[in-house]
Amino acid sequence: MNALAVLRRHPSIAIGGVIVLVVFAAALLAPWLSPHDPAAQNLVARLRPPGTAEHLLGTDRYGRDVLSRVLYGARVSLIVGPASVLIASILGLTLGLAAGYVGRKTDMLIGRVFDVMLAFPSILLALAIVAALGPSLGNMILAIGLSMTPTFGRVIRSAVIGVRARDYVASARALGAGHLFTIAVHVLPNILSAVLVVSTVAVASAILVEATMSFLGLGVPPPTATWGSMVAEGKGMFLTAPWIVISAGLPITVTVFGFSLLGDGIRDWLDPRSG
Amino acid sequence: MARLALKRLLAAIPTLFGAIVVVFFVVQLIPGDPVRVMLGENASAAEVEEVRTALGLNDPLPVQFLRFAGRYATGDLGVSIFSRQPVAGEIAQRLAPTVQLALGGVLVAIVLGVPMGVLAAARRGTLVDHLCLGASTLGVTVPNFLIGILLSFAFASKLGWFPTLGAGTGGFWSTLNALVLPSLTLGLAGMALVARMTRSAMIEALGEDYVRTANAKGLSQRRVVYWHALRNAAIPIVTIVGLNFGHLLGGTVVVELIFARPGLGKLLLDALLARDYPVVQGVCFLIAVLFILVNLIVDLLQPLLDPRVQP
Repeated sequence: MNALAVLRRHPSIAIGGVIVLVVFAAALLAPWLSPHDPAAQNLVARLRPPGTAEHLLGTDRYGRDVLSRVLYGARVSLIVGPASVLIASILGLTLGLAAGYVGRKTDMLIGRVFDVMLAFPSILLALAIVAALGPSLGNMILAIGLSMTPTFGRVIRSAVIGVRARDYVASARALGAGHLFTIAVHVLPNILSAVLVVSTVAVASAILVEATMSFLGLGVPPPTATWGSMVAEGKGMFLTAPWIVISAGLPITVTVFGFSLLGDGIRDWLDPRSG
Repeated sequence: MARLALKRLLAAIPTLFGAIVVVFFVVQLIPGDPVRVMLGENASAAEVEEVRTALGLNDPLPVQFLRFAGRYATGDLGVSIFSRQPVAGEIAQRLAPTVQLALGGVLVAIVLGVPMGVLAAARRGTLVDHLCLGASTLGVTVPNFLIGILLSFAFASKLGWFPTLGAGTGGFWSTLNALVLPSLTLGLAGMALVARMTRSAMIEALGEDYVRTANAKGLSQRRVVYWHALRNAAIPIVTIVGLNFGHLLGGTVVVELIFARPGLGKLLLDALLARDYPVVQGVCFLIAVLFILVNLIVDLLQPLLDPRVQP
């Protein structure tokens, strides 16, 4: 099946993909697309309503251009989302492979660790880790990545158990293949689709967690523009200046929607039985 | 049943112990001197030393952990650095508004999610199905702080139906009234998950032989759907509600901030921002305990819902 046929059969991949690409483009091109410096204050032009050529989405209470801040805010979300998922998938892959492939005591021990981590809501775990390490972009990525690790680990573990029971793994072992070789050549390629599906959906949740942490004041510290912190700043002025909350809240929703749609579509494509 | 309860209770003990390990190590993550970080740069050396001794931070790590675990096992969650009050007491004061909120959120998720899922499954492939699926997608993609701000604006500020802030003035109706918008905010994401799970469990149940038999007997569609199919779809629905409960408890931090409810979430957020670690540890541990407890209840409910599940 060529790419076009896949897209026609699974329109969610196309729609989700376009949304994600547009947001990535906005983040990447922020310096060229932004009409103003996102941190530049202009106290004369405070709380200007949207719709003027100068400030398409209006200004906030410091006179900063909302459009420029929204564009730059996309960068934080799109760095934190994929980067924390990368951490979670590397850790989850290692632990999930160990649990699923080695089995028995290793499996039980790792399963216990996951149980304990899952007893804490992921946002709470992430908040506690950031509060301990201090708020910064790197720490936030680490915290969200760690908090999502058990979810990845569990999915990968069950995928590995499914693959390990296959005849081709037993044949490879019987022919004298070592464990590492078997994992690299026979197990890993066959669980990649599962990893891909969880990762895409996980980026959506990671972006939501990042936005929530920023909203709570425990995200990337100011003056860096983030969507979550923009909503928090605009919250108290919603009656008089609703455009701040809406301009920052809508991109969060659209981005999360795009990634979830993409993930759902990829799952339907790779695993037609689910869905 | 009693044996099952005891077995599950015993199985929860290692997880509880693990939760104590996690909250202990969160403080160990603090780079540099944790006491300096807690008290700020202006604290005198004597103050730092006092808190350090009070927290037992001069002892070797294993000793610290054993003492910490021993305290937690007996319900002593330490003392807040700022209010100097026992953490357990502070939690007890704030527990009621949060439990009310969490129950309200669960109720919203079930009361809205189950009928939506049933409707979508019964009308599979139709416009109704797509609308329900669309609404449930919206529920998980719109961040709850945005939902809270919008609900508060529309129904509290503009229409004036509910209070914008606080947990009510004490009476039953006042408490209930103040609970509506926060519960909706908290429950909408759960509603989406419940609706999706109900839909797929119902689609499976509606394909079973007993549904065909019930239809063949000439029972009304309503009776077949609600009496025969829904009862059999109950287990996955209850399980997803239980698993989602932790997520819900995490969400109270945001909801209590938006609606200024004096609950655990607000206590936790204030403690996080002020770096009051004993409070952070205590609240995190309690939330983990609540989550473990709820899932224990879900486990125990299963044989009641489906006699085929052996206790």
